[in-house]
Amino acid sequence: MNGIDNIPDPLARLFYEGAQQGRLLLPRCADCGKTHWYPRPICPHCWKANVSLAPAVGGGTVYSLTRFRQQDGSSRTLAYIQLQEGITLLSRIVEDDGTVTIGHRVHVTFIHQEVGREAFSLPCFRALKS
Amino acid sequence: MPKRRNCAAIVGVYEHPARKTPDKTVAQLHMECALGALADAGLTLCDVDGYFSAGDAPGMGAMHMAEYLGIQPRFIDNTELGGASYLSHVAHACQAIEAGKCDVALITLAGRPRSDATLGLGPPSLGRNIPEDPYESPYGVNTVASYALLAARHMHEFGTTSEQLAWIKVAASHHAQHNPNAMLPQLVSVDDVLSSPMIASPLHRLDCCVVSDGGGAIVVARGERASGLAKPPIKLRGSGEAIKGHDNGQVDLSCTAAKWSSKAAFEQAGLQPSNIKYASIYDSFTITQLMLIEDLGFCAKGQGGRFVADGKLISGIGPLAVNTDGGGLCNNHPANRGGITKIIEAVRQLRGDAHPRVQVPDCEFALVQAMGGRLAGRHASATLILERY
Repeated sequence: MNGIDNIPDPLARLFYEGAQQGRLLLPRCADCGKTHWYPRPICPHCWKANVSLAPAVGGGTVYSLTRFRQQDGSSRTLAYIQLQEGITLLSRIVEDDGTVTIGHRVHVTFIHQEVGREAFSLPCFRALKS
Repeated sequence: MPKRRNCAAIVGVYEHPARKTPDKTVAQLHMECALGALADAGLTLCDVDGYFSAGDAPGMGAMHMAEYLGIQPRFIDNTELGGASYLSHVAHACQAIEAGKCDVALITLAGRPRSDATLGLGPPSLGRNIPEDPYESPYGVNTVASYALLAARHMHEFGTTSEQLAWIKVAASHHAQHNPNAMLPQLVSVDDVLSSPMIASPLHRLDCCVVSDGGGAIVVARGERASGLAKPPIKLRGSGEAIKGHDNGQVDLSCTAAKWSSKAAFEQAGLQPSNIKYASIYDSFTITQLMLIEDLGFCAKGQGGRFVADGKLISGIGPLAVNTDGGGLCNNHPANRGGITKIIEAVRQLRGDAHPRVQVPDCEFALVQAMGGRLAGRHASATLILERY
């Protein structure tokens, strides 16, 4: 079952539709020209309702990261990623071989995520070869 | 008219001695804490005309608890700032008393997360009514991982080490050994912390606070009432509260909202960190306390690791004694919210009622620092500077 239809926030639905098509969408205000995160329909910089979603380049660097074991025993790497567009967001690093550290260059990738019986595409990041 | 600043005082405190209470409801725990703090003050529920509670209280907080307690408050405050709520409640209570809105304010906290095993935020969801949830919840960030992201960044930026963080736990255990109610009264070493299981790198199991049932309560009263009561009144000399989030995507994990709340508190108090010999500082994780110590101004930003190392937080060793009850790391963390116990131990220190082995001699001022939420995400900070009369 596609999980996107059940997301109550319309802007979040657009964001995940973009992810489904392999695009990381960032909210940008046409009035003040600034990008913000997380997406809101009214710009938190200038409070005008002129925000639209536009694709990010997809590149960034690791701002902070942690590795932990989940209840099912699998390991997970969570990170704050500083995007080229100047905002920092919480995400996951996939295909982590244990050598990724703060400052490492990463690029967006999309994984199939299931929440309960619903599935959607989730933006994550993988390390670029240095 | 008394001077504004002298108008209200903390006259009663109570820390619930239990650490596991599967046979008591949360409402009952609130009641037991209320009765304990009022008895400490030499007052009864008949005297209470202001009531303060936060998200740990059942139902809609004060609305349900007033009936349960059998009180008819004329001033009500449900301010919810997570673990920092109860510090804000003390400040708000003083303001309400000064404004003539009430004379005796009661603040309660209680919960039983240990019995109920209610940790974390539940399964990931895109549909909860929290604005950032659709963009963060699917990644499965739990509380420890969130603080681990903070610690990893601090280590990267300032060279802080796991050994330095471990000293915060070691100091807490030195204090907890004298507290008969402490959940973890045994001494631990730096090696014990470092050899405990890694929960989320770089945080070990012993970098994390306990999960405990219990609670606490505070009574704040008008100055005229305060002077004739059972215990010496403790006055509020300064307070501050602040909120910090991700600043629209400009994430900065190097500091916390405590830099703002403490600035306001110190300014109102007319004091500086060097005037403080005892501080209760939130310690949900070792990194929590280290970052708050820096933001309170006890040392320069980035120097927290050196400030806490080598047992310097243990009463009688360094310039600043911290959490002489054992704190959240060893004593208790009722309702997963450490704020109220931080106030209670500060009041004990100012009254000279702390355990003799941890009592700070001639303790004139005490600082109380708490936070709510997650420091790496959205969080609230509240600071109190208390003074003995």
